[in-house]
Amino acid sequence: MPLADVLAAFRTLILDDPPTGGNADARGAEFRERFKDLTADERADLAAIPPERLGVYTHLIFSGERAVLQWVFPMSLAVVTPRLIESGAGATVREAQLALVRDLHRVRPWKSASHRDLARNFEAYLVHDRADLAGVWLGLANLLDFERTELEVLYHSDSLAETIAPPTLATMSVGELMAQPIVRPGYVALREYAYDLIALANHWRREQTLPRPLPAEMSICAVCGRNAELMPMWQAVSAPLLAGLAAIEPETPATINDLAQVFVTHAADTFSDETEAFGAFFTEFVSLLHVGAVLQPR
Amino acid sequence: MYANLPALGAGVGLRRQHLQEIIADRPTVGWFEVIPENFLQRGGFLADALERVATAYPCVGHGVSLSIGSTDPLDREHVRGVKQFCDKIGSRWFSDHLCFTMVDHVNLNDLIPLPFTEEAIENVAARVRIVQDILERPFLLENVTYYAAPSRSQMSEAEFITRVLERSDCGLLLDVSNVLLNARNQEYDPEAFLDSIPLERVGQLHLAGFEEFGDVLLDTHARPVADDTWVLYRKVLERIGRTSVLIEWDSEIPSLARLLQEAEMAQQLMDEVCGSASVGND
Repeated sequence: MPLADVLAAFRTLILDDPPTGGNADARGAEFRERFKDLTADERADLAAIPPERLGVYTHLIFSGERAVLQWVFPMSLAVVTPRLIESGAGATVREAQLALVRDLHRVRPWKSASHRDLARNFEAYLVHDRADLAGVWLGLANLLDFERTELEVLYHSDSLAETIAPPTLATMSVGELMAQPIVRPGYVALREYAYDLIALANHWRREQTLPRPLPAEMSICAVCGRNAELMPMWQAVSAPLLAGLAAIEPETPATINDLAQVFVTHAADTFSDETEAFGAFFTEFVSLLHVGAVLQPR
Repeated sequence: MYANLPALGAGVGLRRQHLQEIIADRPTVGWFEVIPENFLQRGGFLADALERVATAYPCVGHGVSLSIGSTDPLDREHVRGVKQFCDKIGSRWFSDHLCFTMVDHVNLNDLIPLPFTEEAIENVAARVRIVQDILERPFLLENVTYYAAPSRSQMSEAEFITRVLERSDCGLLLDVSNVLLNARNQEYDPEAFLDSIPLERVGQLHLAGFEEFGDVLLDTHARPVADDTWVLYRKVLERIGRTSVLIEWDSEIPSLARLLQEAEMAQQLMDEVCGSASVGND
Protein backbone atom coordinates (compact mmCIF):
# COMPACT_ATOMS: atom_id res chain seq x y z
CA MET A 1 0.00 0.00 0.00
CA PRO A 2 1.73 3.25 -1.10
CA LEU A 3 0.29 5.28 1.82
CA ALA A 4 2.02 2.92 4.22
CA ASP A 5 5.29 3.50 2.36
CA VAL A 6 4.87 7.28 2.54
CA LEU A 7 4.19 7.18 6.29
CA ALA A 8 7.09 4.82 6.86
CA ALA A 9 9.43 7.06 4.87
CA PHE A 10 8.32 10.07 6.90
CA ARG A 11 8.89 8.16 10.11
CA THR A 12 12.39 7.18 8.99
CA LEU A 13 13.25 10.77 8.15
CA ILE A 14 12.05 12.29 11.41
CA LEU A 15 12.96 9.54 13.81
CA ASP A 16 15.86 7.47 12.59
CA ASP A 17 17.75 8.76 9.62
CA PRO A 18 17.36 12.39 8.52
CA PRO A 19 18.15 13.39 4.94
CA THR A 20 21.75 14.19 4.10
CA GLY A 21 21.10 16.05 0.84
CA GLY A 22 21.62 19.82 1.02
CA ASN A 23 18.87 20.98 -1.34
CA ALA A 24 15.65 19.58 -2.79
CA ASP A 25 17.40 18.18 -5.87
CA ALA A 26 20.06 16.49 -3.78
CA ARG A 27 17.44 15.10 -1.44
CA GLY A 28 15.41 13.89 -4.44
CA ALA A 29 18.43 11.95 -5.69
CA GLU A 30 19.04 10.58 -2.20
CA PHE A 31 15.41 9.50 -1.81
CA ARG A 32 15.44 7.68 -5.17
CA GLU A 33 17.90 5.30 -3.58
CA ARG A 34 16.38 5.21 -0.11
CA PHE A 35 12.66 5.01 -0.87
CA LYS A 36 12.36 2.89 -3.97
CA ASP A 37 8.71 1.97 -3.33
CA LEU A 38 7.54 5.58 -3.51
CA THR A 39 6.35 7.21 -6.71
CA ALA A 40 8.31 10.10 -8.19
CA ASP A 41 5.65 12.55 -6.94
CA GLU A 42 5.77 11.15 -3.44
CA ARG A 43 9.56 11.41 -3.38
CA ALA A 44 9.40 14.95 -4.74
CA ASP A 45 6.95 15.96 -1.98
CA LEU A 46 9.26 14.58 0.69
CA ALA A 47 12.33 16.13 -0.91
CA ALA A 48 10.61 19.52 -0.91
CA ILE A 49 10.45 19.53 2.89
CA PRO A 50 13.35 21.50 4.39
CA PRO A 51 15.30 19.24 6.79
CA GLU A 52 14.90 21.77 9.60
CA ARG A 53 11.14 21.32 9.38
CA LEU A 54 11.58 17.56 9.72
CA GLY A 55 13.80 18.35 12.66
CA VAL A 56 10.89 20.05 14.42
CA TYR A 57 9.18 16.66 14.69
CA THR A 58 12.37 14.99 15.82
CA HIS A 59 12.64 17.60 18.55
CA LEU A 60 9.00 17.24 19.60
CA ILE A 61 9.07 13.45 19.70
CA PHE A 62 12.20 13.15 21.79
CA SER A 63 11.22 16.04 24.03
CA GLY A 64 7.94 14.23 24.74
CA GLU A 65 9.73 10.99 25.59
CA ARG A 66 12.17 12.87 27.78
CA ALA A 67 9.29 14.51 29.66
CA VAL A 68 7.80 11.10 30.47
CA LEU A 69 11.17 9.78 31.62
CA GLN A 70 11.81 12.87 33.75
CA TRP A 71 8.49 12.25 35.48
CA VAL A 72 9.09 8.54 36.09
CA PHE A 73 12.87 8.52 36.67
CA PRO A 74 13.86 11.92 38.09
CA MET A 75 16.52 10.49 40.41
CA SER A 76 17.99 8.01 37.93
CA LEU A 77 18.31 10.76 35.32
CA ALA A 78 19.97 12.98 37.90
CA VAL A 79 22.48 10.20 38.59
CA VAL A 80 23.52 9.69 34.97
CA THR A 81 23.24 13.19 33.51
CA PRO A 82 26.57 14.58 34.83
CA ARG A 83 28.36 11.61 33.23
CA LEU A 84 26.51 12.23 29.97
CA ILE A 85 27.66 15.85 29.95
CA GLU A 86 31.23 14.84 30.82
CA SER A 87 31.24 12.40 27.92
CA GLY A 88 30.16 15.12 25.49
CA ALA A 89 26.59 13.93 24.87
CA GLY A 90 25.45 17.53 25.28
CA ALA A 91 26.50 20.81 26.79
CA THR A 92 23.38 21.21 28.91
CA VAL A 93 21.18 18.87 30.94
CA ARG A 94 18.48 19.15 28.30
CA GLU A 95 20.81 18.41 25.38
CA ALA A 96 22.46 15.52 27.18
CA GLN A 97 19.15 13.93 28.14
CA LEU A 98 17.76 14.38 24.62
CA ALA A 99 20.84 12.59 23.27
CA LEU A 100 20.20 9.80 25.76
CA VAL A 101 16.55 9.49 24.68
CA ARG A 102 17.55 9.37 21.01
CA ASP A 103 19.94 6.55 21.73
CA LEU A 104 17.30 4.77 23.79
CA HIS A 105 15.00 4.93 20.78
CA ARG A 106 17.74 3.58 18.53
CA VAL A 107 18.47 0.62 20.79
CA ARG A 108 15.01 -0.10 22.22
CA PRO A 109 12.31 1.74 20.25
CA TRP A 110 9.06 2.54 22.03
CA LYS A 111 6.48 0.41 20.26
CA SER A 112 3.32 1.30 22.12
CA ALA A 113 1.72 4.36 23.70
CA SER A 114 2.21 2.85 27.17
CA HIS A 115 4.29 4.75 29.71
CA ARG A 116 4.97 1.42 31.38
CA ASP A 117 6.59 0.07 28.21
CA LEU A 118 8.75 3.16 27.84
CA ALA A 119 9.79 2.88 31.49
CA ARG A 120 10.68 -0.80 31.10
CA ASN A 121 12.67 0.00 27.95
CA PHE A 122 14.59 2.73 29.74
CA GLU A 123 15.42 0.57 32.72
CA ALA A 124 16.60 -2.30 30.51
CA TYR A 125 18.55 0.10 28.31
CA LEU A 126 20.52 1.64 31.18
CA VAL A 127 21.13 -1.68 32.92
CA HIS A 128 22.00 -3.80 29.88
CA ASP A 129 23.06 -1.45 27.09
CA ARG A 130 24.84 1.41 28.86
CA ALA A 131 27.55 -0.04 31.03
CA ASP A 132 29.23 3.39 30.97
CA LEU A 133 26.25 4.91 32.79
CA ALA A 134 25.30 1.92 34.92
CA GLY A 135 28.77 2.14 36.41
CA VAL A 136 28.31 5.71 37.66
CA TRP A 137 26.77 4.36 40.85
CA LEU A 138 26.30 0.71 41.71
CA GLY A 139 22.88 1.46 43.13
CA LEU A 140 21.53 2.65 39.77
CA ALA A 141 19.88 -0.66 38.83
CA ASN A 142 18.10 -0.68 42.20
CA LEU A 143 17.07 2.94 41.76
CA LEU A 144 15.64 2.35 38.29
CA ASP A 145 13.57 -0.52 39.67
CA PHE A 146 12.47 1.63 42.63
CA GLU A 147 11.25 4.47 40.42
CA ARG A 148 9.57 2.21 37.86
CA THR A 149 7.89 0.31 40.67
CA GLU A 150 6.21 3.52 41.85
CA LEU A 151 4.75 3.95 38.38
CA GLU A 152 3.50 0.36 38.36
CA VAL A 153 1.88 0.78 41.79
CA LEU A 154 0.29 4.08 40.73
CA TYR A 155 -1.16 2.60 37.54
CA HIS A 156 -2.10 -0.90 38.76
CA SER A 157 -5.76 -1.87 38.73
CA ASP A 158 -7.53 -1.68 42.07
CA SER A 159 -7.88 -4.51 44.53
CA LEU A 160 -11.32 -5.88 45.28
CA ALA A 161 -10.41 -5.74 48.97
CA GLU A 162 -10.90 -2.74 51.26
CA THR A 163 -8.93 -0.78 53.83
CA ILE A 164 -8.51 -2.02 57.39
CA ALA A 165 -8.79 0.71 60.01
CA PRO A 166 -6.26 0.09 62.84
CA PRO A 167 -8.82 1.06 65.54
CA THR A 168 -11.02 -1.80 64.36
CA LEU A 169 -8.25 -4.26 65.17
CA ALA A 170 -7.60 -2.67 68.58
CA THR A 171 -10.99 -3.77 69.87
CA MET A 172 -10.49 -7.45 68.97
CA SER A 173 -9.41 -10.28 71.23
CA VAL A 174 -6.13 -12.00 70.33
CA GLY A 175 -8.07 -14.95 68.88
CA GLU A 176 -10.27 -12.70 66.74
CA LEU A 177 -7.25 -10.72 65.66
CA MET A 178 -5.28 -13.73 64.50
CA ALA A 179 -8.29 -15.05 62.57
CA GLN A 180 -8.90 -11.69 60.90
CA PRO A 181 -8.97 -12.25 57.12
CA ILE A 182 -6.50 -10.20 55.09
CA VAL A 183 -5.55 -9.75 51.45
CA ARG A 184 -2.29 -8.60 49.91
CA PRO A 185 -3.43 -6.38 47.00
CA GLY A 186 -2.05 -7.15 43.56
CA TYR A 187 -0.46 -3.71 43.33
CA VAL A 188 1.82 -4.21 46.33
CA ALA A 189 5.50 -4.53 45.42
CA LEU A 190 7.94 -6.39 47.66
CA ARG A 191 11.59 -5.54 47.24
CA GLU A 192 15.04 -6.08 48.70
CA TYR A 193 17.49 -3.35 47.78
CA ALA A 194 21.21 -3.07 48.43
CA TYR A 195 20.82 0.67 49.09
CA ASP A 196 18.47 2.65 51.31
CA LEU A 197 16.41 4.10 48.47
CA ILE A 198 13.59 5.20 50.75
CA ALA A 199 15.97 7.59 52.49
CA LEU A 200 17.32 8.68 49.11
CA ALA A 201 13.81 9.39 47.81
CA ASN A 202 12.95 11.36 50.94
CA HIS A 203 16.06 13.46 50.43
CA TRP A 204 15.13 14.03 46.79
CA ARG A 205 11.58 15.15 47.65
CA ARG A 206 12.92 17.52 50.26
CA GLU A 207 15.88 18.99 48.39
CA GLN A 208 15.17 18.23 44.73
CA THR A 209 18.80 17.18 44.47
CA LEU A 210 20.75 14.00 45.13
CA PRO A 211 22.95 13.73 48.20
CA ARG A 212 26.68 13.88 47.45
CA PRO A 213 28.30 11.47 47.68
CA LEU A 214 25.58 9.04 46.67
CA PRO A 215 24.65 6.57 49.42
CA ALA A 216 26.90 3.65 50.26
CA GLU A 217 25.57 0.11 50.34
CA MET A 218 23.00 -0.60 53.07
CA SER A 219 20.52 -3.38 52.46
CA ILE A 220 16.84 -2.73 53.10
CA CYS A 221 13.60 -4.63 52.68
CA ALA A 222 10.78 -2.46 51.37
CA VAL A 223 7.14 -2.61 50.48
CA CYS A 224 5.41 -0.22 48.09
CA GLY A 225 1.67 0.08 48.51
CA ARG A 226 -0.86 2.89 48.37
CA ASN A 227 -1.50 5.43 51.10
CA ALA A 228 -4.86 6.88 52.16
CA GLU A 229 -4.87 9.11 49.05
CA LEU A 230 -4.23 5.97 46.99
CA MET A 231 -0.81 7.25 45.93
CA PRO A 232 2.29 4.99 45.92
CA MET A 233 4.10 4.92 49.25
CA TRP A 234 7.12 2.96 50.43
CA GLN A 235 7.58 1.41 53.83
CA ALA A 236 10.76 -0.18 55.12
CA VAL A 237 10.04 -3.56 56.69
CA SER A 238 12.02 -6.32 58.37
CA ALA A 239 13.15 -9.33 56.39
CA PRO A 240 10.78 -11.64 58.33
CA LEU A 241 7.79 -9.46 57.48
CA LEU A 242 8.82 -9.31 53.83
CA ALA A 243 9.02 -13.11 53.88
CA GLY A 244 5.55 -13.25 55.43
CA LEU A 245 4.06 -11.00 52.75
CA ALA A 246 5.78 -12.97 50.01
CA ALA A 247 4.20 -16.14 51.37
CA ILE A 248 0.71 -14.73 50.82
CA GLU A 249 -0.60 -15.02 47.27
CA PRO A 250 -1.74 -11.63 45.93
CA GLU A 251 -5.50 -11.06 45.99
CA THR A 252 -6.00 -14.35 47.83
CA PRO A 253 -7.64 -14.38 51.28
CA ALA A 254 -5.35 -15.30 54.17
CA THR A 255 -5.35 -14.46 57.87
CA ILE A 256 -3.18 -12.33 60.10
CA ASN A 257 -2.12 -15.59 61.69
CA ASP A 258 -0.74 -16.85 58.34
CA LEU A 259 1.41 -13.75 58.09
CA ALA A 260 2.45 -13.85 61.75
CA GLN A 261 3.50 -17.48 61.59
CA VAL A 262 5.91 -16.86 58.72
CA PHE A 263 7.24 -13.77 60.49
CA VAL A 264 7.86 -15.62 63.74
CA THR A 265 9.53 -18.54 61.93
CA HIS A 266 11.91 -16.19 60.11
CA ALA A 267 12.53 -14.08 63.19
CA ALA A 268 13.09 -16.98 65.57
CA ASP A 269 16.73 -16.08 66.20
CA THR A 270 16.01 -12.41 66.73
CA PHE A 271 13.65 -12.54 69.70
CA SER A 272 14.00 -14.16 73.09
CA ASP A 273 10.52 -15.64 73.06
CA GLU A 274 7.35 -15.89 71.04
CA THR A 275 5.58 -13.12 72.96
CA GLU A 276 8.32 -10.67 72.08
CA ALA A 277 8.21 -11.83 68.45
CA PHE A 278 4.44 -11.36 68.20
CA GLY A 279 4.78 -7.93 69.79
CA ALA A 280 7.31 -6.93 67.17
CA PHE A 281 5.08 -8.41 64.47
CA PHE A 282 2.06 -6.30 65.41
CA THR A 283 4.13 -3.13 65.64
CA GLU A 284 5.27 -3.70 62.07
CA PHE A 285 1.89 -4.94 60.92
CA VAL A 286 0.28 -1.58 61.68
CA SER A 287 2.80 0.14 59.40
CA LEU A 288 1.61 -2.09 56.56
CA LEU A 289 -1.92 -0.75 57.00
CA HIS A 290 -0.72 2.83 56.45
CA VAL A 291 0.67 1.95 53.02
CA GLY A 292 -2.26 -0.25 52.05
CA ALA A 293 0.00 -3.28 51.80
CA VAL A 294 -2.60 -5.38 53.61
CA LEU A 295 -6.35 -5.01 53.13
CA GLN A 296 -9.39 -7.02 54.16
CA PRO A 297 -11.78 -8.89 51.85
CA ARG A 298 -14.99 -7.04 51.11
CA MET B 1 -23.95 22.83 16.68
CA TYR B 2 -22.82 19.58 15.08
CA ALA B 3 -25.04 16.59 15.96
CA ASN B 4 -26.91 18.71 18.52
CA LEU B 5 -23.98 18.51 20.89
CA PRO B 6 -24.39 20.67 23.99
CA ALA B 7 -22.54 23.99 24.23
CA LEU B 8 -20.68 23.52 27.50
CA GLY B 9 -18.93 26.88 27.44
CA ALA B 10 -15.29 27.08 28.51
CA GLY B 11 -13.47 24.16 30.07
CA VAL B 12 -9.94 23.03 30.82
CA GLY B 13 -7.98 19.81 30.43
CA LEU B 14 -8.00 17.54 33.45
CA ARG B 15 -4.38 17.11 34.48
CA ARG B 16 -2.87 14.91 37.17
CA GLN B 17 -1.22 17.91 38.82
CA HIS B 18 -4.59 19.54 39.58
CA LEU B 19 -6.69 16.56 40.64
CA GLN B 20 -6.39 16.96 44.40
CA GLU B 21 -7.16 20.68 44.25
CA ILE B 22 -10.18 20.17 42.00
CA ILE B 23 -11.62 17.51 44.30
CA ALA B 24 -10.99 19.60 47.41
CA ASP B 25 -12.05 23.03 46.12
CA ARG B 26 -14.63 22.28 43.41
CA PRO B 27 -13.72 25.35 41.32
CA THR B 28 -16.23 26.88 38.92
CA VAL B 29 -15.59 25.74 35.37
CA GLY B 30 -17.88 24.60 32.58
CA TRP B 31 -16.36 21.20 31.96
CA PHE B 32 -13.22 19.09 31.83
CA GLU B 33 -11.65 17.41 28.85
CA VAL B 34 -10.12 14.08 29.83
CA ILE B 35 -7.45 12.16 27.93
CA PRO B 36 -8.39 8.48 28.24
CA GLU B 37 -4.80 7.38 27.74
CA ASN B 38 -4.01 9.02 31.11
CA PHE B 39 -6.62 6.97 32.93
CA LEU B 40 -7.37 3.79 30.99
CA GLN B 41 -6.50 0.55 32.78
CA ARG B 42 -5.41 2.46 35.85
CA GLY B 43 -6.59 2.17 39.40
CA GLY B 44 -5.69 3.87 42.66
CA PHE B 45 -5.62 7.63 42.98
CA LEU B 46 -6.11 8.31 39.28
CA ALA B 47 -9.25 6.17 38.94
CA ASP B 48 -10.68 7.42 42.21
CA ALA B 49 -10.06 11.07 41.36
CA LEU B 50 -11.54 10.74 37.89
CA GLU B 51 -14.69 9.22 39.30
CA ARG B 52 -15.08 12.12 41.74
CA VAL B 53 -14.49 14.73 39.05
CA ALA B 54 -16.86 13.06 36.58
CA THR B 55 -19.56 13.00 39.25
CA ALA B 56 -19.25 16.75 39.80
CA TYR B 57 -18.57 18.13 36.30
CA PRO B 58 -19.39 17.41 32.65
CA CYS B 59 -16.44 15.49 31.23
CA VAL B 60 -15.58 14.83 27.60
CA GLY B 61 -13.03 12.35 26.28
CA HIS B 62 -10.22 13.47 23.97
CA GLY B 63 -7.81 10.84 22.68
CA VAL B 64 -4.20 11.15 21.62
CA SER B 65 -3.34 7.67 20.37
CA LEU B 66 -6.09 6.49 18.05
CA SER B 67 -3.71 7.03 15.13
CA ILE B 68 -6.70 7.32 12.82
CA GLY B 69 -4.57 7.93 9.75
CA SER B 70 -2.14 5.09 10.24
CA THR B 71 -1.92 2.09 7.98
CA ASP B 72 -1.17 -0.15 10.96
CA PRO B 73 -4.27 -2.16 11.93
CA LEU B 74 -6.78 -0.16 13.97
CA ASP B 75 -6.47 -1.11 17.62
CA ARG B 76 -10.10 -2.09 18.18
CA GLU B 77 -9.43 -3.22 21.72
CA HIS B 78 -8.22 0.29 22.51
CA VAL B 79 -11.32 1.80 20.89
CA ARG B 80 -13.54 -0.51 22.95
CA GLY B 81 -11.66 0.63 26.04
CA VAL B 82 -12.26 4.24 25.04
CA LYS B 83 -15.97 3.46 24.62
CA GLN B 84 -16.16 2.08 28.16
CA PHE B 85 -14.22 5.07 29.40
CA CYS B 86 -16.62 7.50 27.69
CA ASP B 87 -19.59 5.62 29.16
CA LYS B 88 -18.04 5.84 32.61
CA ILE B 89 -17.40 9.59 32.55
CA GLY B 90 -20.62 10.38 30.68
CA SER B 91 -18.80 11.80 27.66
CA ARG B 92 -21.37 13.09 25.16
CA TRP B 93 -18.84 12.93 22.35
CA PHE B 94 -15.29 11.81 21.76
CA SER B 95 -12.49 13.37 19.75
CA ASP B 96 -9.02 12.49 18.51
CA HIS B 97 -6.61 13.93 15.98
CA LEU B 98 -6.53 13.85 12.19
CA CYS B 99 -3.02 12.45 12.05
CA PHE B 100 -1.02 9.32 12.64
CA THR B 101 1.00 8.45 15.72
CA MET B 102 1.96 4.83 15.01
CA VAL B 103 3.63 3.48 11.90
CA ASP B 104 5.16 0.05 11.43
CA HIS B 105 4.15 -0.57 15.07
CA VAL B 106 6.50 2.14 16.34
CA ASN B 107 5.00 4.87 18.50
CA LEU B 108 6.02 8.33 17.32
CA ASN B 109 4.64 9.90 20.49
CA ASP B 110 3.51 12.95 18.54
CA LEU B 111 0.75 13.99 16.16
CA ILE B 112 2.23 13.52 12.70
CA PRO B 113 0.33 15.05 9.76
CA LEU B 114 -1.05 12.91 6.97
CA PRO B 115 -0.36 13.45 3.31
CA PHE B 116 -3.22 15.42 1.78
CA THR B 117 -4.14 12.66 -0.67
CA GLU B 118 -7.19 10.71 -1.84
CA GLU B 119 -5.71 7.55 -0.45
CA ALA B 120 -5.31 9.07 3.00
CA ILE B 121 -8.91 10.30 2.94
CA GLU B 122 -10.22 6.84 2.10
CA ASN B 123 -8.06 5.25 4.76
CA VAL B 124 -9.20 7.68 7.47
CA ALA B 125 -12.86 7.47 6.46
CA ALA B 126 -12.89 3.69 6.63
CA ARG B 127 -11.34 3.74 10.09
CA VAL B 128 -13.60 6.52 11.38
CA ARG B 129 -16.66 4.48 10.43
CA ILE B 130 -15.39 1.58 12.55
CA VAL B 131 -14.57 3.90 15.44
CA GLN B 132 -18.01 5.53 15.33
CA ASP B 133 -19.71 2.13 15.30
CA ILE B 134 -17.82 1.10 18.42
CA LEU B 135 -18.09 4.41 20.29
CA GLU B 136 -21.84 4.86 19.73
CA ARG B 137 -21.54 8.63 20.16
CA PRO B 138 -20.53 11.54 17.92
CA PHE B 139 -16.87 11.49 16.95
CA LEU B 140 -14.87 14.63 16.16
CA LEU B 141 -11.53 14.85 14.39
CA GLU B 142 -9.16 17.65 15.34
CA ASN B 143 -7.12 19.62 12.81
CA VAL B 144 -3.44 19.31 13.77
CA THR B 145 -0.48 21.59 13.30
CA TYR B 146 1.93 20.68 10.56
CA TYR B 147 5.45 21.90 10.20
CA ALA B 148 6.03 19.58 7.26
CA ALA B 149 3.41 17.49 5.50
CA PRO B 150 4.48 14.25 3.84
CA SER B 151 2.64 15.34 0.71
CA ARG B 152 0.84 18.47 -0.48
CA SER B 153 0.73 17.75 -4.18
CA GLN B 154 -2.91 16.68 -4.51
CA MET B 155 -4.93 19.18 -2.46
CA SER B 156 -4.79 21.87 0.20
CA GLU B 157 -5.14 21.30 3.94
CA ALA B 158 -8.63 22.86 3.91
CA GLU B 159 -9.79 20.61 1.10
CA PHE B 160 -8.28 17.58 2.79
CA ILE B 161 -10.04 18.29 6.10
CA THR B 162 -13.34 19.02 4.35
CA ARG B 163 -13.26 15.82 2.35
CA VAL B 164 -12.25 13.71 5.34
CA LEU B 165 -15.16 15.06 7.40
CA GLU B 166 -17.67 14.58 4.61
CA ARG B 167 -16.43 11.15 3.57
CA SER B 168 -16.30 9.99 7.21
CA ASP B 169 -19.46 11.84 8.21
CA CYS B 170 -17.90 12.95 11.47
CA GLY B 171 -17.53 16.27 13.29
CA LEU B 172 -14.65 18.70 13.64
CA LEU B 173 -12.84 19.70 16.77
CA LEU B 174 -11.52 23.00 15.47
CA ASP B 175 -8.24 23.90 17.14
CA VAL B 176 -8.18 27.65 16.63
CA SER B 177 -4.54 27.91 17.64
CA ASN B 178 -3.60 25.26 15.11
CA VAL B 179 -5.34 27.24 12.38
CA LEU B 180 -3.32 30.30 13.33
CA LEU B 181 -0.05 28.38 13.56
CA ASN B 182 -0.53 26.61 10.27
CA ALA B 183 -1.52 29.87 8.61
CA ARG B 184 1.69 31.50 9.87
CA ASN B 185 3.97 28.52 9.23
CA GLN B 186 2.52 27.69 5.82
CA GLU B 187 1.78 31.30 4.87
CA TYR B 188 -1.96 31.37 4.22
CA ASP B 189 -4.89 33.48 5.41
CA PRO B 190 -6.51 31.95 8.50
CA GLU B 191 -9.88 33.56 7.82
CA ALA B 192 -9.92 32.25 4.27
CA PHE B 193 -9.16 28.84 5.75
CA LEU B 194 -12.13 29.15 8.14
CA ASP B 195 -14.38 30.08 5.23
CA SER B 196 -13.33 27.05 3.23
CA ILE B 197 -14.04 24.30 5.77
CA PRO B 198 -17.48 23.02 6.85
CA LEU B 199 -17.93 24.97 10.08
CA GLU B 200 -21.37 23.42 10.54
CA ARG B 201 -19.48 20.29 11.55
CA VAL B 202 -17.67 22.00 14.44
CA GLY B 203 -18.60 20.42 17.76
CA GLN B 204 -15.85 21.85 19.95
CA LEU B 205 -12.94 24.29 19.94
CA HIS B 206 -9.42 24.20 21.34
CA LEU B 207 -7.27 27.17 22.34
CA ALA B 208 -3.61 26.85 23.32
CA GLY B 209 -0.38 28.75 23.60
CA PHE B 210 2.59 28.45 21.25
CA GLU B 211 6.26 29.37 21.04
CA GLU B 212 8.83 30.25 18.42
CA PHE B 213 11.25 27.49 17.43
CA GLY B 214 13.66 28.41 14.67
CA ASP B 215 11.59 29.72 11.78
CA VAL B 216 8.32 28.14 12.92
CA LEU B 217 5.74 28.69 15.62
CA LEU B 218 5.48 25.56 17.70
CA ASP B 219 2.27 24.22 19.23
CA THR B 220 3.77 23.61 22.67
CA HIS B 221 0.71 24.06 24.92
CA ALA B 222 3.16 25.60 27.38
CA ARG B 223 2.06 29.25 27.30
CA PRO B 224 -1.07 31.37 27.70
CA VAL B 225 -3.32 31.76 24.68
CA ALA B 226 -1.77 34.43 22.44
CA ASP B 227 -3.53 37.71 21.59
CA ASP B 228 -3.79 36.77 17.91
CA THR B 229 -5.47 33.50 18.86
CA TRP B 230 -8.09 35.35 20.91
CA VAL B 231 -8.80 37.50 17.85
CA LEU B 232 -9.24 34.47 15.65
CA TYR B 233 -11.36 32.77 18.32
CA ARG B 234 -13.73 35.75 18.23
CA LYS B 235 -14.02 35.37 14.46
CA VAL B 236 -14.80 31.68 14.83
CA LEU B 237 -17.50 32.44 17.42
CA GLU B 238 -19.01 35.02 15.10
CA ARG B 239 -19.34 32.28 12.52
CA ILE B 240 -20.51 29.33 14.63
CA GLY B 241 -22.07 30.81 17.78
CA ARG B 242 -22.05 29.35 21.27
CA THR B 243 -20.07 26.13 21.63
CA SER B 244 -17.72 24.20 23.92
CA VAL B 245 -14.20 25.55 24.07
CA LEU B 246 -11.23 24.13 25.88
CA ILE B 247 -7.97 25.69 27.08
CA GLU B 248 -5.08 23.31 26.44
CA TRP B 249 -2.03 23.75 28.68
CA ASP B 250 -0.12 20.48 28.89
CA SER B 251 3.49 21.44 29.39
CA GLU B 252 5.00 23.69 32.06
CA ILE B 253 1.55 23.34 33.58
CA PRO B 254 0.51 26.40 35.58
CA SER B 255 -1.50 26.57 38.80
CA LEU B 256 -5.14 25.62 38.51
CA ALA B 257 -6.09 29.21 39.26
CA ARG B 258 -4.01 30.49 36.33
CA LEU B 259 -5.48 27.89 34.01
CA LEU B 260 -9.00 28.79 35.07
CA GLN B 261 -8.26 32.45 34.34
CA GLU B 262 -7.71 31.51 30.72
CA ALA B 263 -10.98 29.58 30.67
CA GLU B 264 -12.75 32.57 32.18
CA MET B 265 -11.41 34.76 29.38
CA ALA B 266 -12.69 32.28 26.80
CA GLN B 267 -16.08 32.22 28.49
CA GLN B 268 -16.31 36.01 28.67
CA LEU B 269 -15.50 36.36 25.00
CA MET B 270 -18.10 33.75 24.11
CA ASP B 271 -20.72 35.55 26.18
CA GLU B 272 -19.76 38.83 24.58
CA VAL B 273 -20.01 37.50 21.03
CA CYS B 274 -22.89 35.06 21.44
CA GLY B 275 -24.92 36.62 24.23
CA SER B 276 -24.76 35.75 27.92
CA ALA B 277 -25.60 32.29 29.20
CA SER B 278 -24.70 30.33 32.30
CA VAL B 279 -21.46 28.35 32.25
CA GLY B 280 -21.93 24.67 31.69
CA ASN B 281 -25.47 25.02 30.40
CA ASP B 282 -27.26 22.00 29.00
